[in-house]
Amino acid sequence: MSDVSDRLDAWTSEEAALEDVEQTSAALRERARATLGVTGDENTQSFRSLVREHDLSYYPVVALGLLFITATNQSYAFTVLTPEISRTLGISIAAIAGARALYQLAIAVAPLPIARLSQSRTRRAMLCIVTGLAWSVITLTTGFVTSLVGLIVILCLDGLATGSVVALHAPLVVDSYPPAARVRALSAYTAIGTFGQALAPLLVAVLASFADLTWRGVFLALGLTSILMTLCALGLRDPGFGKWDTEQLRASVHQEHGDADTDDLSAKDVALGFWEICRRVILIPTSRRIFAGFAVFGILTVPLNTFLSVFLDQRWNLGPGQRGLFFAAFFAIGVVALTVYGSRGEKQFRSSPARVLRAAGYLMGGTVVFIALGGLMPAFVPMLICFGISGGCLGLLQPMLWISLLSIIPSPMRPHAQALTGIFMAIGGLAGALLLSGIENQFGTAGTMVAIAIPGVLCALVIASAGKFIENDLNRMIDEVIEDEEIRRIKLGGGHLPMLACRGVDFSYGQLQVLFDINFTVDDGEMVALLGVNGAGKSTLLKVISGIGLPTTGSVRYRGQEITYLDAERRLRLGITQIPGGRAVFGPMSVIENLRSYGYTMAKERRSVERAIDTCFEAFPRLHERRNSLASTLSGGEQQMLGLSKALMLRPRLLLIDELSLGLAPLIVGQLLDMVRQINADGTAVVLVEQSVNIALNLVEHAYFMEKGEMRFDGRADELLARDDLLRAVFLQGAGAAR
Amino acid sequence: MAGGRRLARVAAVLVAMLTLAGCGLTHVQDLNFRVDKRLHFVSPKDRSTVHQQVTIAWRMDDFKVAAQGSQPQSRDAGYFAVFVDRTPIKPGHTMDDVAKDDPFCQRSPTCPDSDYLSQRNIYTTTKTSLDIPFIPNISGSKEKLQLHAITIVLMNTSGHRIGESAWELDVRIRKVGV
Repeated sequence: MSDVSDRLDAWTSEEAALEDVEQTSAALRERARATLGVTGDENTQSFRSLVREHDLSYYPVVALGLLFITATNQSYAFTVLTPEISRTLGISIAAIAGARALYQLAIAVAPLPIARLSQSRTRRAMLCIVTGLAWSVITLTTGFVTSLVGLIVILCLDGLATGSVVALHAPLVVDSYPPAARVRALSAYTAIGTFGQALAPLLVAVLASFADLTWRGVFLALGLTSILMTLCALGLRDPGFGKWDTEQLRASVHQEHGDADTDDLSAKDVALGFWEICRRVILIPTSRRIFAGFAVFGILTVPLNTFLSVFLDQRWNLGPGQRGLFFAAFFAIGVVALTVYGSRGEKQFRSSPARVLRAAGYLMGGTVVFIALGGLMPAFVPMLICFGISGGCLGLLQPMLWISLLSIIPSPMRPHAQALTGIFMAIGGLAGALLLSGIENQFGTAGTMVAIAIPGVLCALVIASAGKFIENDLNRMIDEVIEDEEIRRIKLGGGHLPMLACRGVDFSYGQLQVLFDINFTVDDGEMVALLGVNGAGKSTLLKVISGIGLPTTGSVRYRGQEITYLDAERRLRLGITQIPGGRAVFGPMSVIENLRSYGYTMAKERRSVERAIDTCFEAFPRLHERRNSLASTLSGGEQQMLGLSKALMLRPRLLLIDELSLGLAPLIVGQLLDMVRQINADGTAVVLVEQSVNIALNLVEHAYFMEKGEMRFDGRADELLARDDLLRAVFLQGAGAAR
Repeated sequence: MAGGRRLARVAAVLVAMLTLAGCGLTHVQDLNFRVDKRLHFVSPKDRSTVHQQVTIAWRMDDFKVAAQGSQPQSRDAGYFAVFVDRTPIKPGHTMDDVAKDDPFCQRSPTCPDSDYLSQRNIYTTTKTSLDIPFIPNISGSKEKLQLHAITIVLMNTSGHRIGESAWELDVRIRKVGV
């Protein structure tokens, strides 16, 4: 009896610790939002005073802007000089266009490995400089290319190096400045890059026309300029992940409790891997909508420029030089818009990030509508005005989408989010090229200008709709960081936390939400029952714990570490094993093969696997008798024995058992439950999902009851038995077997 | 340290690929870094609208015009090859490239001759003007006023393209059949 009482006391203290975490999160949330630059007002300090106050400099934004310019120059030069390259080398324009497509593919793919390189160490600045030097040398080498193969190699290498612009620049700008200055820092960085886009046509025109350089000479000159500009960025240093946001939030947790600052605890065992981070970023509702926005942005920037060039050529008979001037003016208007927008955007963001996204939606709509109008204009000047307005709107989109995306994602994951934007832009670019080509064949180049309005307006609505989610996603990020730090603090202070703690878990199958704000805890060595009728969400909760399903919101913590987005196989290695409901065996394999497969899951040595199999056979002699039989030929009870053997072999810290007694004779159920008791007595915590209340409640002291995806009861098992209002729908069966 | 070594290896591979892709495959003296201004188009004006048959004229400086086989091979002597809406042959290559996918032509010792080439919108001349009898529509284009590219390159007396120099004139012609 005293054992039961001790357990319940421990359980109460753990619940209190978790409540402490939740209270700290709630208390700090408003302050944390202010730390992240969302104050609810529009009072902004000037950028200069912020830089002075925090002893910062303009250097990071200028250095990254210079690198951005060098990257765009090479790309623009290629676009303009393609006919000349074709004539000189005797390579068809189609072949060069194919090489350019590979270049775009390289640009789309490269941000992912670059994000991976920057994931575990703060070396983003070093990567920016190295890749900047790489593409500068590549630009210079382009001037010596003599064959299509050489061109393809050069372009692919260039695309791979340019990937750092997409993956690293915006996260580095964001981490270099405090949140109160970020919209302006991003706007300034984008303005410098856009200035480069405006400058590129003029620079190429000057080099080609006035300096009499061929395309080779132009690339040599651009390469040398690029090397010089990259050298100017040599002083770039990585400020560290989340210096101005997540680290500040962590510090605020300790300030709240009057603790001294602590060193970061190593959490390598549960650090998310590359694909886990990508998946985690995609699961954020705001991110998904912003990625859709970037896909249309890809249509606008990648193929539309080509079609716009053809449109100006055919409809308005503008030669290459005049087209260059047109594009220079187009981007220059973007620079002006960005310069004006910076402080306005900061105010919008401080007031509410949702306003930034709504404004981005309107701008996206404005961009495509004015492009369409420009395509239809019968006179030259109105056409110029329409495209000028669209250029201004287009210029603003990038920093608005960046700040919205990066502000809801923890710092180390930002390069991954940026890399994904690159992928979505490339997808948009490819889809746009196919779409616009088809439309050009049917309706001519003016038709392409008009057609872009349809997906563009749809996408504008999607971006604007992201405004509904960004506040929640921002709060979620804040809660995650604060909760993480609060739990570290409690652990450092010797506080006890449950082995497993699910907090505020929501889960959906597509659009159908099946779990609602679930809280669920299990302590070391505890056996708990999770009860409820069919469809209550019990098995889904087990999936969330074991990693087979990922929640839309909420967290899963295991031994104090966040594992919400960890892969299932990594959770298995950490000691979480699930025995699925029904026949949890590989039917076409024999009993012994099934057991070996469990052993090999843990990459155990053959000898230790064989020893573990012998243990299973000792526990279940019936399995030994049928060791060479196919699992599909076993009876239901034998199959459950085989499933339970998994726990005997893997010796998990936490065992999740789904519907062990379903469809089995009482005698068999009794045998299996004895084994479960034994496994639990050996120190494994057990979560027993059951429909049979009597079976479960005879085994456990702590029970949960779920109904329609909600946790309706969390408490002592005997108290649940007294709740007729909850248990009326559950069949009271199998009591005899349990006894 | 392992990460640093991996980066160094990647950098070495990149440098090797760049060298292969770029200057390792060619002689630098054969590459044009400055615009070759020896040829100037006299008529028609660039991007002007013209009618069929199109006559183009140009002026050539510092180049001795000579027919194929008339004198020893030299970079400064030879004749003109005019490509209409076509990519010119590669530097140093001959007109055999035009017929490389045509087995009938390859069997004939005189092919590709001037008739064969003109059917493919390629003309050779020792004069500084050329009458192009007919420029066909650009395939796939629905534009009523189509932009055609006329490119002139230099050929030496042994029938090889000289260097990388190429000059382009764009003219607009109303689509045939509209």
